[in-house]
Amino acid sequence: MSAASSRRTAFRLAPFAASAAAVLAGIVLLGSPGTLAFWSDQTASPNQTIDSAAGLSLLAAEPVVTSYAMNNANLVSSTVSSSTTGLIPGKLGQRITYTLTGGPTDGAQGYVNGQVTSSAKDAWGAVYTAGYLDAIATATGMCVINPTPTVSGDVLTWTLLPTQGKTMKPGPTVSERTCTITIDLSLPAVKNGVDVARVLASSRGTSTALKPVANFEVRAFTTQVPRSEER
Amino acid sequence: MKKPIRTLLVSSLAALLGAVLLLGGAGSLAFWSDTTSTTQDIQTGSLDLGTIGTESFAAATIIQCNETTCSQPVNYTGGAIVPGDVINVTVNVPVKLVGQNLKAELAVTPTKVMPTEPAADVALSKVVSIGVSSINGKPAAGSTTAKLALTPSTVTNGTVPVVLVVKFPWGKVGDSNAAMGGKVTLGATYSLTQIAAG
Repeated sequence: MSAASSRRTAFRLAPFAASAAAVLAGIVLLGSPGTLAFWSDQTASPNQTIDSAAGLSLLAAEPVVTSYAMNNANLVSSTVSSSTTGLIPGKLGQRITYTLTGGPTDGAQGYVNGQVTSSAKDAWGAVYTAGYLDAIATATGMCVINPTPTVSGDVLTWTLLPTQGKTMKPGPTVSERTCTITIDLSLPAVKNGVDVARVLASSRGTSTALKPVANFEVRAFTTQVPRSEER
Repeated sequence: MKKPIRTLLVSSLAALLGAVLLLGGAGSLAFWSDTTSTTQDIQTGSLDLGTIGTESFAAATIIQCNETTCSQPVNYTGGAIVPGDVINVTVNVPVKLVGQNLKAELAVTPTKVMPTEPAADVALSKVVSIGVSSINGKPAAGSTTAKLALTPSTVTNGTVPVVLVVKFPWGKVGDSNAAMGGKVTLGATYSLTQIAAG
């Protein structure tokens, strides 16, 4: 192809090349964010971090068992025990104390839920099933317990009752986040005309060894108090 | 020069002169006229989302709801949250709309960073939700993207209040124990897009 022929061919193709270039430029212009046919803008807010509270905690101290003198001078057994420990009809009771404490930095107030249960041991039948044992639960501080147990077989269960106002309140004041549960166990000297001490002495025979009555166990947990119920 | 040619030349010049006089002579038109000109500048409007900083965060309140009741709202000052907490935070989004026929759609998309550790952060991030409660006072439901059409007249003082709601569900007993002590990172993206005014 001669040079003149090439120039003529190029001249004929020039309009098409220009059109193609214009289309390409249009595509580029329309496709670029800054040249959209309509306007837009966008932004983002700075992220915010929110912490969850440390939660709730409940610590149960080792139970404390103490003896206490019974005050029933009017009911005197015909048998005078020489023992100074354990349950002594009409004379000595046993008190089991459980102390539950909430955390000072807990994230919310907490209800104390749970229960205290007893499981029968050797002397259970002689003292409880026979109807002699008195077992009373009380609670002070930031919890409430049903004083009357439910009975299922040989198991007694006292239930802790979540109650408005009786809540573990985080903070430096320990009394505001402490609950004390006591189980008082006692045997009367005489019950329904029966000399309990004599009956029990007869049932245990000559053995002087202590006979366990029952195991007691507290199982407690804390649940968050809705703010609408905080007192 | 021959006479016919001279005659033709003279007559042509005469005709041309007449035409020039008729067309070009301002004072010689057969009727009066005048002309003037004016210019009119037309400016483009603008659409702009300003920067959202911490100063854009206005009132924040917190309540707590369990299955049945909610507490009274109080100011939220950034403390740790517990199950049942619901935080409403108002973000004043800077919006500039200029143009008689300008209409734009503000889209708000809540965001949540999903961590991979520690476990408490993961657990908290799973249960805490963020959504849009309202845009410019109009209720907006949804935890994905909420939208509202705006015009210059609906933007007051250059900002559009967007209320975001953060929820930590009350759940069942112990549901969120794993989230104790965790943290969750939340945010939102905003876009403003022109839409047809019609």
